[in-house]
Amino acid sequence: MTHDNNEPLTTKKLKKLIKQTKSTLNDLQEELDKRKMDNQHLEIDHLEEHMGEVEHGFSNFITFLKDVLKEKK
Amino acid sequence: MTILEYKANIKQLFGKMSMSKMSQVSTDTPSSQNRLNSYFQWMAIAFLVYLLISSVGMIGAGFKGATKGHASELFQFATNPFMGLIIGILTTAMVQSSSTVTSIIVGLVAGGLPVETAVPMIMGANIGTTITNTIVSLGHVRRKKEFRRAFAAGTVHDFFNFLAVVIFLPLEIVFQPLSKIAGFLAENLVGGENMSVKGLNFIKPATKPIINFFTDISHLISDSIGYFILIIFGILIIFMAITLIGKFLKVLMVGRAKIIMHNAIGKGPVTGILSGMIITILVQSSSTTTSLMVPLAGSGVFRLKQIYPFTLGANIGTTITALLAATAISGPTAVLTLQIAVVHFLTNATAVILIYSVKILRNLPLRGALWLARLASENKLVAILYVFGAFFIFPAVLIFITNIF
Repeated sequence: MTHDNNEPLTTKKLKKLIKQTKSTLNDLQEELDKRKMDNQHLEIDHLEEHMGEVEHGFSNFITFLKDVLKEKK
Repeated sequence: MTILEYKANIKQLFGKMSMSKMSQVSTDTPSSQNRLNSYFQWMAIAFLVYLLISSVGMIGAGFKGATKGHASELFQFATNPFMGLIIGILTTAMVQSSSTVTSIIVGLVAGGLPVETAVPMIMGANIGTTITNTIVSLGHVRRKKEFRRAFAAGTVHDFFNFLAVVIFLPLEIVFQPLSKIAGFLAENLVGGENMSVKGLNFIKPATKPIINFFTDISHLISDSIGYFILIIFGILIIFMAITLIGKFLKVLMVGRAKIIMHNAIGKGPVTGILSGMIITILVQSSSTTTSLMVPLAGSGVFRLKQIYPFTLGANIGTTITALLAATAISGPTAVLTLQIAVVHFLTNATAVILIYSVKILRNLPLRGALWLARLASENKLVAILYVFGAFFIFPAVLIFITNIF
């Protein structure tokens, strides 16, 4: 295996690259987890809207029935 | 791709990442008008709780008067525990409020309904209440993936409560562990000469005027069926009080619920269970808490595993209503009413502890919900069949079978 400009990849360099890649992967994972959590916080900020949704149980059921009937036709 | 190119790509990708902002809980200062509104809403809630407690007393008095001390004979048909279970499922599924049904059951126990007959009814109420969030999940029908996630979030509660009944009802029929522990706790909590809940002796004189008022009205309407009318008044007032309390608390407590949920993010399942329990106590409705989880899971932002503990916490939090209702009763039946309320709490709390701590049991509701959601998203008729089948047809068939054998 060669490095850029056809330089030979020494074991030392390879180890260093593995270490850097692992650290980058950890950072990426942390960022991904953070983004997921941020999205969850954002979703909770819309709790009032979700509360409203809870109120429409019966109309949900009717809409669902209509949808199913339409599909079956 | 060389290693340096790979490294450069990663760096580029990492550099592009925008650090998303943490959402913030609204901390707007309420205006004086809002403050006044919430003051009146809290006053209304206090009055509605008073009405709720009084109406439990009304049902107790009405049932006692109507059956003339022979309540157990009137409920002879429900001595079969499966019949009691079915009554609990059907009534709760119809009124879509386990708090209403458990409060009525507490009132009936005060009027002479035997505790052993009431226990399966309480368990049935736990199953019946799960219909609400399942129906809420049907609102996501337009988008297939979203519907699958929402339906799984709605039915995980159903599967959990079914499993809890499958475990605890046979145990209760054979050994009565929950009734015995609840009886012991109730006897220790209720004491004194007048057998009312310790420290809550003021409730009887406080509720007496309203109970007497409705008793007089009921007998004015018809002297022969006055006590039955009193029971109907009690049921209607419980239903109205719990519905209105729920509506007011939803508005007043949404901010607190947000804070609790924000704090629970990224924490473990125990925090989720505790958060679900506290939110349910705050809004006085497990259906509200479990239904709130449906859109959160439906959007895909929360995974089913993450909302599952909240649902379990809701099961524990909802038992507060029956405990509150039990404080309405004083006299010789006070121990029994508190016993049935404690049975409700113990059933739900031990079910959470047992099922959630054993991995195989814990995963059963998740697998069941995911399996059913997959089927329902492929064929929506499955969802309709499930709702009617599990909450109405299955109990009706059980009634039929119970009557034959």
